[in-house]
Amino acid sequence: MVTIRVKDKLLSKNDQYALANQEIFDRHGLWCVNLIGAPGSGKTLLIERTVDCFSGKLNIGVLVGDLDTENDARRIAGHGVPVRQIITGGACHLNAKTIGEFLPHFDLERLDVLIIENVGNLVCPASYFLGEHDRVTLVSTPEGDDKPLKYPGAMHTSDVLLITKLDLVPYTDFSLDRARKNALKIESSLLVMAISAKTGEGLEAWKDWFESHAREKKSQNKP
Amino acid sequence: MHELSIAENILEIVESYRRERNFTRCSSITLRLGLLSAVDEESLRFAFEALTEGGPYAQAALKVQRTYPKATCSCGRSFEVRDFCYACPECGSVTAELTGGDDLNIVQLEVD
Repeated sequence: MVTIRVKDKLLSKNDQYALANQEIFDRHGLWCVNLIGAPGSGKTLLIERTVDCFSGKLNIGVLVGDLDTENDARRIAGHGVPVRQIITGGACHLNAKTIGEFLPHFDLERLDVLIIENVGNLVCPASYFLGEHDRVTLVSTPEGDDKPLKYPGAMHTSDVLLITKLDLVPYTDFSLDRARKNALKIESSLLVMAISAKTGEGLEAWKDWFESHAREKKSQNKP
Repeated sequence: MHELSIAENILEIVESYRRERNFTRCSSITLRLGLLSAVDEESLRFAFEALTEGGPYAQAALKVQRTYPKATCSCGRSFEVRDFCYACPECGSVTAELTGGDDLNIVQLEVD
């Protein structure tokens, strides 16, 4: 019997594809952000508001994942940005290989930002790295302020928790303070923001965060 | 969720060492698996068994060393974190600085 001491990092196939995607993003000075959240948490409306805010300032492309229909892509395309719909045909998350296959559909040299709208689900998308630079988890106020505790994987792997639908707080028992504390219990470095895409409340802070990350990536690669 | 492809990667790495060292039998594979690696040990074992069944690595035992992050609290106390939900045993704070505990490596092979 011989003992071989080794030190090999294990990577899933998905992570290998994800790192290849990130290399492509970095080469083009493109900032990629992955939005995850339950169905109906407000991902598509957030994208619509965001691309409107940066119209003429940042070139944004959008990849939208859904089990079926091109409804979301049509909604977003109405705002004048390049968008592609990935229909997963039943799969509950996007994977890095599929993202890589869709990248040639975009003029990456021209783009500053790629937004990925993941399939509505807070479980599986959390464990699939797509090569994004930042991950944002959306939790809407009607989902309850204990949601961060129920989905620790999503909290732990995210950079931002974005609480959405602030305008509905008066109709629910949701406490912003409790939600924030619950999220920080899981991941103390999480940045917590709260918005209403409908009324515009809190959107300034979101826009500032978004723009500063996009500009930082651009300045690293496109001096 | 990606334990199956991690199990595949384990076998790819073992196979590359087999070609390099020319061993005939691998009796154990030792992994280091951190709490923060987002890999479920039970699912990984299941995937590994499914992939190796009836093949040259069917007899290889998968040994897993679990690792946990070390938390350093602003109150000065250091402690090991065993769960995603933790609190400083000294002051109750839940916002300590975590280091380590994200290992996902093969560390040792026992071969003949």
